[in-house]
Amino acid sequence: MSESLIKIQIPVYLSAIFGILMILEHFFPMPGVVTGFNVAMRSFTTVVSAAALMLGVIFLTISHARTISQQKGGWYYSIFYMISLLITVGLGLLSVRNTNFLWIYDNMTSPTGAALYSLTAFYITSAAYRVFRARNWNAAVLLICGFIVLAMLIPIGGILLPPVVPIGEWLRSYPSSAGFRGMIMGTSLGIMGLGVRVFIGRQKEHLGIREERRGA
Amino acid sequence: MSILNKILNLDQRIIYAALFIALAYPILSPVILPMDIQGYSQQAFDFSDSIPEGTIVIFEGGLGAATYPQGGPGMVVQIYHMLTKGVKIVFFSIGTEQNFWTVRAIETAIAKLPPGTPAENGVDWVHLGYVAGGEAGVGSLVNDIRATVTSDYYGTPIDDIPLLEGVNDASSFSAVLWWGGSEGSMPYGIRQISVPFGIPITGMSTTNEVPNFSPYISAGQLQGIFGGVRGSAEYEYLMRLPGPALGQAMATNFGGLLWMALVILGNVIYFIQRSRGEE
Amino acid sequence: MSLIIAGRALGLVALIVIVAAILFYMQQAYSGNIPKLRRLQAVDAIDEIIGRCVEMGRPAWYLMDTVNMTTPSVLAPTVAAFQILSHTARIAARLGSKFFVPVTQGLAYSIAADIVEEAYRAEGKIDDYDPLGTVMYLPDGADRMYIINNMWSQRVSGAFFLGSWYHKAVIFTENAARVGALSLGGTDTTHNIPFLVAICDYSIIGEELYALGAYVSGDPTNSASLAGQDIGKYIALILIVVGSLLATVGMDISGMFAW
Repeated sequence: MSESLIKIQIPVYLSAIFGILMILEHFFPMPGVVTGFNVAMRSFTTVVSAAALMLGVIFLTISHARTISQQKGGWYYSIFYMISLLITVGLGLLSVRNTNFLWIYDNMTSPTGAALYSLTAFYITSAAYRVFRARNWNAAVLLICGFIVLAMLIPIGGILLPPVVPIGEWLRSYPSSAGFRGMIMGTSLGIMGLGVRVFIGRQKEHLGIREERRGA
Repeated sequence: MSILNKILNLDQRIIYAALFIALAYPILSPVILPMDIQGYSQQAFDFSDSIPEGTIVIFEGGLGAATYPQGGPGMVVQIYHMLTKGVKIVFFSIGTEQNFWTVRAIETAIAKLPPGTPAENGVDWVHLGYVAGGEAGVGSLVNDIRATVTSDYYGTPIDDIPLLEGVNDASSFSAVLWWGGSEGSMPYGIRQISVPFGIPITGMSTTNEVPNFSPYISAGQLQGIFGGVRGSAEYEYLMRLPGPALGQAMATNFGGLLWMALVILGNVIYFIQRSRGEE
Repeated sequence: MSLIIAGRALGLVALIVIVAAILFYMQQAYSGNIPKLRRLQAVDAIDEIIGRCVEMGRPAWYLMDTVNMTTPSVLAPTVAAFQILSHTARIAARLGSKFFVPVTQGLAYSIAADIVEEAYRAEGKIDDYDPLGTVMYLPDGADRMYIINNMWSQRVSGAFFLGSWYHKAVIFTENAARVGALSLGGTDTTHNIPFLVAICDYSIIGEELYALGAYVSGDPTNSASLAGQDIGKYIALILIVVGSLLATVGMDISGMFAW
């Protein structure tokens, strides 16, 4: 089998066939064999996710092993990584409902995840201080609307400044909704266009393939 | 550099420190301030309260580790609300991590129930676990449950679950409760369940996603929404079930006020500089 | 048993019409009849950002945030981001700019690595490509601190934030802005578009992410598909106007579209 057939044509055909089957299932009552096949395909995404996770762990381990062997800057952190990996994988292989494994998740992974998510608040405040200046009329309108909606959203805002509640709800329900509707429609059309290009094989970057193009 | 310029280009670490103090203080030393209920939250509560006793609702649990602090308390209250009303619940999740946190919320809610409240697994509620495939998976589940899942989260075969006797698609459900966190997945519930089956839907999303769903609320496709930590706090308040969200919501008062003060300060200095002709 | 599932016929008709329009314009382009398209400012922005990085001798970073390719809602913008990565990597290789692509999923990492390696190979600069350094796998969660710290330590002078962006949008774009990087941002997750527009120097909104991917592919048939998408927009516009007028005169139109 030629390399082009394996690397390009077969994946493109499979993408198109599976994609069209999923679309048909949404619109037409399909026989059980097709529905069952689609359910199985969707379940395979769980398997692929797990495989992708394994792939990532392997890449990361190689990278850290290289850091340790070459004693690059911060190589001792890589040793922490290796130890953590061994402990977590070991406990997880015993059972993902193992008490110690759950302890690691409850007391280390999820608080860290929540803490990192909370970084957003700090960066939004820093960004707002730097960016929200009424440099021109457009920026001034943006600033005033943002102020009103924020005042509406904080619990005490409606108590301190009662007018912000009806104005903020109007802003959120009408101009903001209109803008979001436009964006949602545009994005949906963009996805349809991308889908057509992928299904007919005109764009293959998702397969890691970059073909020579005119004018690139 | 002039003092005004220095303030205008304030070191971000000073901003972070001020925000940290503004958020941490009311959590460590609770400050209770008055709070009014947003229209969206009241609408969502009124809808949830109107779900008839004895009916079954489908509940998507989409909170992960990052979003559970803001949505978890509200989700616990929603489960509490449904079970105390005698509404039965069919849970599922479209994310693997979210699946785990849904179980956590169920266990927390059941622990809070008044003694004697029916909350038996398989009879009053069931968790179907993780459903793969995103929106397509949701569509498959609500059109044919048994073709999509063969057992619940705990391994019990679907046909052995009393709650699911005679239930194989969404036509058996009276409402959709979609606690999607930051997944942005609520449109899945609208497109795959609410619109095709004519079943009303409400739920929760993070605060920054609420504008995303305003079009659906305006169109009547979504019956209100609990937005972020404030939405959860409002639900706790409306149910008279104080919890962690109320404390966090108080903290957002101070964070929000600090944000507004900083923006006003920045603009005042900016205009002073402009009036002086400085850059 | 009906031929079409109840309530979905209108959606099917809309899908067929729009796909037919896209295929029509692509076919026209095959025949040499290429529609005239407005040049996207972002195309020039890519050149400008890479050029700045070359002048300052500092790296350009290409970030895609969530690249979970097994989640349908994330897959489409990620594929679009790969398309733009292909073009950007080619320009970076050609101009000799340092280029760095952190990726947070194994599958996406291998695809991105292939794309960037091919771009460097196409420009004859394969020696500049570091297999484990140019495209780097960072676990989701740990990537935040790595990217924040290294943006400062490397004094990044150009950054691209393209793909499916969630809450990390503000963290990374604000950090890049504070470092002094010139940035281009674009996502289709509507609630994060305002952050990218406010903070980035150049931005592409929603659909433009997919349009840019088609545009920079350099293939006129792909660019022509954008004209087909515009047919969908015209249909939506007409329906909005007609629906608004009917609703204004008091006609109940809710049942008109439930077939």
